[in-house]
Amino acid sequence: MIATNTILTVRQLPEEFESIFREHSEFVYRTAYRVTGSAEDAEDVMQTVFLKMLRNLPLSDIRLKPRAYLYRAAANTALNVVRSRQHQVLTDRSDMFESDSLWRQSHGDTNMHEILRMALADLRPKAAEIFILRYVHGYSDVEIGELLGTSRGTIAISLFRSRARLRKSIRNYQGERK
Amino acid sequence: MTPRSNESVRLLDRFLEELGEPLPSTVRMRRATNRVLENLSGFDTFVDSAVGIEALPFAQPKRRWAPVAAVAAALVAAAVMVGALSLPSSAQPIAKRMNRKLIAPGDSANIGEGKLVRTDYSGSEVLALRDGSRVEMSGGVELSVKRAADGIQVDLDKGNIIVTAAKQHQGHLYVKTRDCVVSVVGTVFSVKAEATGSRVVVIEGEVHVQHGDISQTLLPGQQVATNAEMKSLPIQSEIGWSQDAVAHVAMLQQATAPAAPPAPVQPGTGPANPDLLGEIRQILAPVDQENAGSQIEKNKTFFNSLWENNLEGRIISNNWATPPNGFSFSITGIQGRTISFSTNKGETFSYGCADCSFIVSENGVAKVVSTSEPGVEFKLSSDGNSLTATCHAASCSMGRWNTSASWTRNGTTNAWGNGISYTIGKANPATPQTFTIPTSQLTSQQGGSVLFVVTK
Repeated sequence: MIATNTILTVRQLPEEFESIFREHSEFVYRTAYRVTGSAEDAEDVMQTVFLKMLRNLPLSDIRLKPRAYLYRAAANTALNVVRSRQHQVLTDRSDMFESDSLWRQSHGDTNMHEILRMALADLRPKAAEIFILRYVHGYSDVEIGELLGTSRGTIAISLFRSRARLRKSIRNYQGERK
Repeated sequence: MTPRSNESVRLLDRFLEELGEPLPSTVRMRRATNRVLENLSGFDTFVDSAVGIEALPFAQPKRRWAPVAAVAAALVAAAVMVGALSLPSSAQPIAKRMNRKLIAPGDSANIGEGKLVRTDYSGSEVLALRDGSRVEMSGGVELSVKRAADGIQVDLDKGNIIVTAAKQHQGHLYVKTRDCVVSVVGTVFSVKAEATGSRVVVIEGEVHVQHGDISQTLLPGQQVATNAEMKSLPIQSEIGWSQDAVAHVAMLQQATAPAAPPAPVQPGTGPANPDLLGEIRQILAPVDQENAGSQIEKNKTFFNSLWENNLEGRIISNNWATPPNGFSFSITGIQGRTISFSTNKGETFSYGCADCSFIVSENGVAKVVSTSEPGVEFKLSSDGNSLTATCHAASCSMGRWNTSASWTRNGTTNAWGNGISYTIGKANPATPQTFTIPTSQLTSQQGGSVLFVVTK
């Protein structure tokens, strides 16, 4: 048997990166999962986000505020995934160019959440970030303001407008179905 | 507010509630997290090694993953631009040890051409080759990897490996032992190199074996030995040690599916058992000490070192300490019917067991009797999927670290999060504590070891 009595060390990813990964991976995954609604997409988002971070870690100040960076990266990457679905729907099937209401009708009410995800992806990036922090992670206005460097009032107004936009999407969707 | 407005508010509220709900499966999340970390661990190698090995294609990503491929390509391009191509190709890694295992200081997970790779007996280990192939190595393997004229060649000096060859676009993957050469273009097979000869068995696909002037083609379920004195073994015995044994067996079953359903398993009926999964459980992988039947001999060299007044912080966090009048040991893996132990001094011991029904005490391994000394009693479940540990005649605790895993204690499921963490279940001597550990989590791939601390 080969002896294994040497003092051993782990050598894989940079220690600092691995530490950040272990601390924040769940946060990133949760963000991505709730935004995309898909475990597979959430895994892809997590991998993309951390790969970018791995590439940028030595040069950036990510290490100073990793949570803020990772949240923003996760939210934006996940929203991009949702946006790309819209393109896939429009490009994969030519008949959908005629009217995407056909697609909506064919999928029924169960796709309401998908409609809302797309509406979320259509919000301005900052508004979407605020929205996700509130409703996915349950942050208060004050906490969101601290994380994003924005005032509490701005957060409240942004959330109000975002909810209104989403409600409008629902009404439009319902209107087209009638 | 109109009815339509009310409805939109209700639907939006439902959506917002869903956003805030807990994740439906934390287990799935942990698996995803582990996969991502593993992929990222391999990433730097592929970027580095891509430069200067123009003849070899990139390793195929495990999953559909266009964004990373794009970033990887960009990074490779950047590396080329800064002049990394000036490095000689021989200096570039041709393979990488993928497991999150411990390696010696000064060593690297990256494997250069011709570098000798050895494995110990603490569980199987995986090597990722430059062409995307995967080599799983059992304990006691010695091999090296080099470029061949039209692909990659693994020189296997000793031990048993299972190769999952990537689809070869232009070349071949070769495995060479002292007396034969195996060439493939995309398949799964096992090669074992022994002092008396070599044995090749095929799990999936087609393999060409060249032995002297003899050339043979093997199909799934077929095997060949280069020495007539080497007994023909059940193919499953060659792969029972693998982390993916169940998957390989399923693959083999699919490739060689008989017309009639298999007969029911009869425990103890010997190698004629047609149930492949059951047969795997009957296989003894190479071990330091086999189950000798009636009386299990104790391994004094190993087990005498269990006794410790203070646990050194080398295996696990310094926060752990063996209480006075106690001892500790780790289970580092279970493969088929072989269970591996480790002490805090890094000494290892592997033990073959029929159903792993035995007790580990400071004096060694023994059968459980009413007078058994304080220790941890183990038993493998009938389906081989879990190992139950019970504190015997003493209180004990159990911990895991550096992994995402779960176990059941007295019927309640516990889980670890990511990161270096562990939980101790303090036993009440009056109430025997039972820990049930999924054997799938006791593989080196899962990064799992379990530490037991027993107080007399």
